[in-house]
Amino acid sequence: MTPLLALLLGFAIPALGAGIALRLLEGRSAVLTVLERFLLSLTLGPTLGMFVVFLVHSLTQAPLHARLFLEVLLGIDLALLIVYIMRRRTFLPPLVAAAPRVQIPRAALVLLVTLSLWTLIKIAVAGTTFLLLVPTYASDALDNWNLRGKVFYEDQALTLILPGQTAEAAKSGVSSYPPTVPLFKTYLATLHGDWHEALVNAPHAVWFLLLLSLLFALLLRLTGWPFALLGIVILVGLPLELMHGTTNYADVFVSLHLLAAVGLLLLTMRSDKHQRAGLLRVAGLSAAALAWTKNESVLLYLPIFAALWMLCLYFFHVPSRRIPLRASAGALLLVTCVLLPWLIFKWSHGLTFGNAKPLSSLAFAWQPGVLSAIAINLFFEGNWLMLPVFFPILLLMCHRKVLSGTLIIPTGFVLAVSAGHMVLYLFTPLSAEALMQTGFGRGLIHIAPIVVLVTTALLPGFLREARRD
Amino acid sequence: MLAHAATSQRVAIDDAWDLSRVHAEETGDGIRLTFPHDAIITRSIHLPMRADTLIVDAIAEGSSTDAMFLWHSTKLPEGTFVQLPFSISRTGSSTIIPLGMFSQWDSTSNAIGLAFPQGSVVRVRSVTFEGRGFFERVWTMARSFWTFDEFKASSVNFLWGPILTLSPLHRAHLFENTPPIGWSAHRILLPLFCLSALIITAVLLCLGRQWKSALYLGVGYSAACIWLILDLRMGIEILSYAAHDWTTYVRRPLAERQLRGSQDFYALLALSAPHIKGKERIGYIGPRGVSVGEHLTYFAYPAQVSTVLPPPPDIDTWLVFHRPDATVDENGLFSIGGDTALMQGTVLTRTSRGSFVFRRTL
Repeated sequence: MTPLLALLLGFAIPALGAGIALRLLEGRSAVLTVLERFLLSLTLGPTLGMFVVFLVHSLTQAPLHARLFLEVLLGIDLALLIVYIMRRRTFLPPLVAAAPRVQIPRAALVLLVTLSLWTLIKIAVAGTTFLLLVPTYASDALDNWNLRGKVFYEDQALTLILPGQTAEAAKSGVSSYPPTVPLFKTYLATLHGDWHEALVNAPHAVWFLLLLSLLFALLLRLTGWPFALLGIVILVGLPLELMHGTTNYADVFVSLHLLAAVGLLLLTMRSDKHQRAGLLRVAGLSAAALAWTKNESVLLYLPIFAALWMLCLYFFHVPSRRIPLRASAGALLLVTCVLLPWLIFKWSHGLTFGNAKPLSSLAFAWQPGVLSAIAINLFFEGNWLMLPVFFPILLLMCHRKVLSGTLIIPTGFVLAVSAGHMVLYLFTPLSAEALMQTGFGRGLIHIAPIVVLVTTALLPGFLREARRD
Repeated sequence: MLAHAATSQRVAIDDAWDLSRVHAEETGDGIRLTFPHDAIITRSIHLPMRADTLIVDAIAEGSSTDAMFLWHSTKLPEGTFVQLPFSISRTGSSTIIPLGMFSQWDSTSNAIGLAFPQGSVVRVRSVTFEGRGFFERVWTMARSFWTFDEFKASSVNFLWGPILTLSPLHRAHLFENTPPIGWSAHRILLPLFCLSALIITAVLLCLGRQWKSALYLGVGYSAACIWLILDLRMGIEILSYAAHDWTTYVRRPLAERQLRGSQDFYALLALSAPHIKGKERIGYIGPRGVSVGEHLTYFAYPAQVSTVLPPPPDIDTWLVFHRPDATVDENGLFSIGGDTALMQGTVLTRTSRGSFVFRRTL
């Protein structure tokens, strides 16, 4: 099988099952647009598909080759398809609201088109060169994402002790991360029949494009197509975001799942009561997939997401809390179905938590020099253009809209995660990640799309105030 | 190509210096200074121009030497010197000190000094002050804004962004230091943003606009302009990374490929791939003091990499990288540094004199 066909089939097979699962979770009436469902299928399908393969392999020790992957994934697709066919007759017309119609002046349209072309050039040139035409270069790919995938492929097993490691070192090393990304690379390599560098690096380009498309789809609902396009321009404009989108690190992969989960929670709270349950169930599936991305998702992002979820249920005075509570219980079940087996696996193999450093070894004390390192990263380097300046100013100038509306959800998530990061960097030895300018920036990559979502969603109101006279 | 300075003043190491505590010896290529104790050599000076760069053309004999440049500003009490540490390398490359970057530097200083630790032996050819006129400094600053870094291993963690410097010499080596010696351009852009927002708001208020609308327009226009400039700057930098990869790797023949400062390592890996395939273990001989590294571990897998010498009996394929002292004679005898032959075999492929794949005859 050619690399391109392996890539297409590699995504399509699990996405098919995810698409069916999403439609079933939406309920009798579809609450997602076709575009949203398509993007979420491609996002959640591979992730959750790899989870099921991981489960089957862990329980049966069946070798990780094409047969196992295809049997599991196609089996899921078939089972879900049968359920879909049985339920299809009960489906009602969709309940999706149309995107707001926006008229933009001709000059603004010309500028937007120019910026979009510039954005396209950056993505195409950088993505093609860094992911497809040159070999793996980045450190974390060489000793984590790609190396583990290659080891799984060659050994046909979830080998935890990597070349050059001792058994003890392996427990607190990169094998403590969920094997999602490496396993997906293994899967593609088995479809192709060989370890092919461009093939195993191509998914990172797909995940980046999915991230941009999902941001577009969410903003389309909130603001209309011009601002949705502007959101992509802003996100790709962030230099460190573009670097991550076009190299084979896994932080864009995490940010994609975070955007899906938080974005769906936002849509839930913006919807009417008929759509709420379906959107909540879909958000629950996204949260379940989020648990299977990186350790930070379990330790930091999921707890904050869960807290926001409960606050939403409480503050939005849903007339009948029964449906959302039932949907919430279903979401909790989905998350548990993913989290519990993974935690059992980690516990049974002695794997630690933390960012390749065990959390249990972290002492709590003030770390000198970290604040200035963070300030330099945010304000005096080329990582974020000047978004760390503009974003707080925008929040301040549009605070009424943020505090009184549903944008408080993604804003609250960003602020809570930022506070969590600050505590870790200012008070634990993880401060090295800030002082050495390593993990700090990558943590911000996780929430950058949500920051851009809020920024772009506030812009129409900002411009209205600016034009008012 | 280094830009020429507007004005310069060369200061030779001569009798004008107080060399009483050091041993000075004239050579054909500068003055050799030997320091039996920690010592400072000083002299009085009068610079006819506003100097922003000091170039110390010197070689440390032995190992690199840490030194201090000192100056006495006329604004300071007598006998008080400001000191600035720098290093003199053993390779002979000039040390460029961007004096203009330090607020304590004073071009009207009337005395300078060089301090060296005990045991230092340095051969100093010249000490040169350079200065630029106002417009040249502004032009250099503008050009340094558009001077780009290269794709490094750290580029996925952070990007330096636009750095400003006043010295053309320094701009030519802008990103070779970590951190780059210069100012982040954001130190100018941030105040510029605030100032332009205020000015635009004030102008609109004067034109009769409501205060809220004027403020939003002021902030919005300023933010948008600065964003566009920075987006263009950083976007072109990232595209320059891709252009560099195309010229040094993608468009080159396999044996001539170089990737981001790794020289011919990736070319060697690419050429060795068919010879490594199917092997359980391979050998690697690389630069002294440098470990195997994650690159080779990843690319060679499932073959395990061994660096053990003398060669184990089960390893027949060896990658040799940047070892000009590793030779194979006409009889296929492989040796390092002219010592006893370690093994016998054939060179399968080569990327440079010290980088090749060797197949041992078992």
